[in-house]
Amino acid sequence: MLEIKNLTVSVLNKIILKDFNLIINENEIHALMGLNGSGKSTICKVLMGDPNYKVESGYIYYKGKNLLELDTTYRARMGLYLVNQTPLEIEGVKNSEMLRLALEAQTGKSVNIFEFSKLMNNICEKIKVDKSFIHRGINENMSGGERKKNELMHLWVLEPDLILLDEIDSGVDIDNLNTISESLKEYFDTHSCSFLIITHHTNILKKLNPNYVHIIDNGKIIETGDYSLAETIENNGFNRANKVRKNLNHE
Amino acid sequence: MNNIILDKESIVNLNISEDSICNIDSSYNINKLNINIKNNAKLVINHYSIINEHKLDIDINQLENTSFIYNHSFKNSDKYNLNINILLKSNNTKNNINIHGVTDGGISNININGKVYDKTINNELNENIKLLNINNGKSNAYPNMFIDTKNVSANHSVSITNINKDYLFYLNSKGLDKDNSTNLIVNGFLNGIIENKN
Repeated sequence: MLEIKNLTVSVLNKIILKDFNLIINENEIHALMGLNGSGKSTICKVLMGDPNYKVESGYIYYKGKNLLELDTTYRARMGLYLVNQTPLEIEGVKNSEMLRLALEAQTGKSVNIFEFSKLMNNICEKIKVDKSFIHRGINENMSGGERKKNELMHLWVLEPDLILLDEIDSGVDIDNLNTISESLKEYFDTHSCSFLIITHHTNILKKLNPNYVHIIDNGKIIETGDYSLAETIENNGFNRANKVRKNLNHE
Repeated sequence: MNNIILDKESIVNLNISEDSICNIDSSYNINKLNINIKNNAKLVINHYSIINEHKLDIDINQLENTSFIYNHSFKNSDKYNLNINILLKSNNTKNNINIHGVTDGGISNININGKVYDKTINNELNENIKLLNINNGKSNAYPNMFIDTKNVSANHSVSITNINKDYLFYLNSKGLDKDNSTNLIVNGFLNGIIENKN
């Protein structure tokens, strides 16, 4: 589904990712963990085509197409979806209006307003948000947790294939985190899709049980393991976990 | 609240003696609006207009214990000159001017002159202007305040921006192209003020 090969990326002439490699197949969940500033969010931005990030070398193939030749709109219509760490607030632009237009652009057909309304109501129940969310401005006057759920609502409507979750667990209370995790699990179980989850914690990973956990350091993946690697990091921190793993290797 | 329907004249005189609301849209072609708010009355005007070439002067005179809210959103594609003159000569008055304007390839000049007289007390004057330029539009804004008393709350703000690129990227990342994204942002900006301020 996705292949990133020898990707080097800079922002304002500073190299953030260096020879970054990653392959994500269909129906896989990958987690990416690393210290602040290690390049985790950059990979999401580059995949989505953020113009602030400059690809110096390497390539990204998604569903057989060279992603770097495609604009953000096209990437999204191909099924890429990003939930940002801090989702933007756009004054006056209603969720319903944006999603209806996005669906029409994706399918090339006009949206039946009654079916759309039914769909939106069902999604609100599923992710436990008030139905007023449907007609609220995008993330307007919403708390951190509400914003993440609002983005989750967009995900259920647009039904993307490769979902990039950049710290979806940050700024979210435990109850909302459970709702979000369960909803993501349900989405994964009912769709042919893949997740790339960026996180500092194991809370969300416990529910989603990733196939692979990668550690990124200085713009490069330095270690890959299963969920137990995330637990080691959570219990020991990155530096101490390195030492623990080195000692184990010596024994 | 009393709902006021204006005459479709170029010069309109409004004398308000009870709490009232008035909605003005593009079907009106007002050049001069004289507003007098009598003691203890409130007036809210929601004014939404699509403009080609237009000049509008608004004079506001408020008496004791009155409140005036003017929410104006416009999209101008040619030349728009808006002048608002506010005179607060009495006590305990509130005056809120909120303007959201989109200048689409033309030029917009927004002048607000708010005067609070000497020896008046407990007056409130707010002048807020947010302008968005698209397609090489140009906007000028002057939220002037002439305050002759210390017992007053007076605030003014102006922002003149282009389309926020982060907003565009966000909407593009949902699968919307540049034109659809721009339209959504512009319409949201224009409608937001009327919905939020009611």
